[in-house]
Amino acid sequence: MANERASELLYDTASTLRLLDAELGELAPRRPAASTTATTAPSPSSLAASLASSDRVLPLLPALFVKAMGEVQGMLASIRTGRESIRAATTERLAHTNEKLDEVSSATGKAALDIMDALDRAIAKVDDLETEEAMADTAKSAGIRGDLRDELFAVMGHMQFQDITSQQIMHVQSLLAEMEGRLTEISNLFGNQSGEASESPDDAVVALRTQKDAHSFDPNATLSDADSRQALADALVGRGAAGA
Amino acid sequence: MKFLVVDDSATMRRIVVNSLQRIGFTNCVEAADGVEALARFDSSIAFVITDWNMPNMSGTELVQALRQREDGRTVPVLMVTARSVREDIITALEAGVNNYIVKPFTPQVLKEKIESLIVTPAA
Repeated sequence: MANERASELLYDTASTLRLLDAELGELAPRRPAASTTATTAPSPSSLAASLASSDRVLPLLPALFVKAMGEVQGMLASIRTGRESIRAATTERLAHTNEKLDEVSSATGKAALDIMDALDRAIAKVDDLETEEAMADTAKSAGIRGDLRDELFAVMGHMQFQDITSQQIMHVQSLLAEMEGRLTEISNLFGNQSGEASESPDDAVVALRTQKDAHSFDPNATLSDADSRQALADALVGRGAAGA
Repeated sequence: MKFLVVDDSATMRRIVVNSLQRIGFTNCVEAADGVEALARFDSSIAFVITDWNMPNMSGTELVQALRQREDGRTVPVLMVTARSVREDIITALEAGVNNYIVKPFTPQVLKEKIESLIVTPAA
C-alpha cells in the first residue's frame, strides 16, 4: 500500500517535471539567437523578429506559472496522501506486533505459573512421602512416588511453551523485517537527502530473511484452547478415517 | 519399535522423546527438519512423529516425500504441531498424515494417538 502510494507520487512528480520542461521548452528556440548576439551584432531584421517573439511568449508566462503552481500543489497533495497511507500501514503493523508481543508475555507468564504449581504439588508429595516412610507404609509410599513422578513429568510438558513463544517471536521478527523492507523501499524512492548510501539492508536480504523464517513458524501459534483445538483435529481425523 | 522424531525445536524433540520413553518406547532417532529426516529414514523406522513448521523442508513436504518412497509408503505418521486451523489439518491429512496432535499436548494424548495407529496400522 505504502509502496504503491510512493510509486504514484514518483509518477506524478515525473509528469509534472515533464510538463514544466515542455512549457519552458517553448522559450528555448530563442536562446541560440540571443547567444549569437554576444559575438555578432544582430541584424535589424532578427532583432525585430526576436522582439516580436518575446511579445508572443511573455504574456503566456503568468498562465504558465499558474499551471506550474497547480501541478506543484497536486504534487504536495500526493505527498500528503502518501505520507498518510504510509503512517496508517505502519501503525497497523506496529499494533499487530505489539499484540503478538503481549501474547508472548502472557504465554510465558502462564507457563511459569503452571510450572510453579506443579513444583508446589511435587514438593507436597515429597513431604507426604517422608511422613509415610516414617510410618513404614510402603504401599502408600509407592503411590506417592508415582504421583511425584507424574508431577515432575508434567513440569517437562509445560516446557512446550518455549516452542510456542519461539514461533510467536519469529512471527514478530518477520513483521519487523517486512516493515524494514518497506521503509527501505520508501527511503530509496525519495532518495537520501545527504547523498550518502543507505545502510539499510537491500530488498533481497529482507525478502530472504522473511521467506526463511516463514517456513519455521505458525503465525497463529498459541497456548490457548488446546483442548478445543485438539477436539477439532480429532473430529477431522475421524471424518477422514470414516471416509477412507 | 523404532521412532523417528522430527522437530526443529530441540526442546520439543526432548519432550516427545521423554514422553515416548515414559510410554515404553525407548528406541528413538531424532531429526531437526524434513531433509534430515529423509536422510535418516530407512525401513527400520516403524513410526514417524513430525512437526509441521520447520526450515528447509516442512512436515507436510516430508510426509509427501515419504509416501513416494517404497519403504515409507505405509509407515504411520503422527503430526505434532501448533497449527490447528481446520484447513491446515485437512491439508496435513491429505498429504498423508495418519493422526494429528495440537501443541501443547499431554503425554496421555500422545499415548492414545500412537496406540490408535499401532492397533490400526496405516493403510
